Amino acid sequence: MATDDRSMRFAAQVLPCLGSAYRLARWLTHSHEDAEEVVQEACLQAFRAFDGLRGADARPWLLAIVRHAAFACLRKRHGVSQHELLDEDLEAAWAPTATLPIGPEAVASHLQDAARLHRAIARLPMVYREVLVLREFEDMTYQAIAKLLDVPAGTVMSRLARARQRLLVLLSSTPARGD
Amino acid sequence: VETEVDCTTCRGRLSALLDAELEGLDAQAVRDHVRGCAGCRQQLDALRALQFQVRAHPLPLPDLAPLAAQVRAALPARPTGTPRRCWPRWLVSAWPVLACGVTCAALAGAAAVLILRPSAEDVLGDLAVSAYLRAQHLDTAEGLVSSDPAQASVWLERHLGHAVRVPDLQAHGFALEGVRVDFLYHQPVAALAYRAGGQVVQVFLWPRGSEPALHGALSDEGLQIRFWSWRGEHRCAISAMDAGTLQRFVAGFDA
Repeated sequence: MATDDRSMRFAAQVLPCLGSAYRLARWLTHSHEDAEEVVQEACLQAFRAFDGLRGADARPWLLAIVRHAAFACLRKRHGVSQHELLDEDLEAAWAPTATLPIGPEAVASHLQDAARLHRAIARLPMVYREVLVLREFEDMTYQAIAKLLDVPAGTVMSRLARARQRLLVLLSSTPARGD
Repeated sequence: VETEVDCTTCRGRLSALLDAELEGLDAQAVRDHVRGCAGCRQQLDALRALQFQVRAHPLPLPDLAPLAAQVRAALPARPTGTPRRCWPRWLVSAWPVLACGVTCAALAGAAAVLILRPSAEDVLGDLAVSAYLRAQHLDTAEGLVSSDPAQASVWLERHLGHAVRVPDLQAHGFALEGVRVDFLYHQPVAALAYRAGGQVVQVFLWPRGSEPALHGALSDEGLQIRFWSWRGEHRCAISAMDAGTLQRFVAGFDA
């Protein structure tokens, strides 16, 4: 049976984004197996919705579907509640005047070990982890992240500031390998 | 105009300064403050070092070729030339089941909530969720941004070729945001977006033929979904708002 041209167009536009999709899914679920399943499910959902893409950038569109699928996986498979996934109360806990726990030299020395950095990122609450991943690993603008998360750009700005502050706190308390 | 910032304001904006996401005077004021403040400068340096290190250590990707092959294999194949603009056979065949379910629910004295046949439930829910997501990530240029129901109705009729009623729900607490044409399984449908507070509800409308009425209530992936038929039209509403609020919306829509 000849492959439909729609499938071919989908493969050409969406499959190049598979790395971004996997990376986001992996950061959100913490698991290679879950990430692969989430990406497969997201791709099928994306294929069904493909007619509506009509020339728009496929990557943020696919990432939004991946995020949705990852949350569904966490809820269904791991019993994570919606409140835990998007705990807005966390945001009130950060004070912008707080002094960062470590200085620039200490940051550099703490991060010689990539695994230590990854452990610290993994410990960030979801609302902070997702904006950090989208900004630092996908290089998305605040506006693009805001659109993906359906929140104002100002919220992205404050969450990212808090994410970095928390990451520094976590790094200062995360033991190096072998500690 | 000179804008000065103190340490509190500055430290709240250092992260955005680092990302070049502050604009004009705001960015200049933060830069000026950092230049003259050792404490804030050290914070900015720490954030810059953090960003450098984070970006230098992305998560290593596994070989994604097997995953890509699995995705390709899961994509439906269809003989070239098959007509697209038709409702799928399973969906048409699902309607009698849906109608039957409604009757049973009514006989049981239950609320208008229906347990759909699993396959129909899954696919209808997925279609609605996909359309909901699609609307959030396409340019507004794809449709009409308007709070005027009459204008929206005219726009939809021009694009769909048939009349579409767009109710004014301000009195019920839902403000019209805009309309567009979307697709549910390749079938063009009217898509209306309303907002209440911070939440959006989307409604999809398409003409009802000879098939039985459609009624159902689903909760999928944090989204509430309602299917129903009314006055020669099939309708689907979907939102992240709570079930009670969405039910209030549906009641207002049909009023």
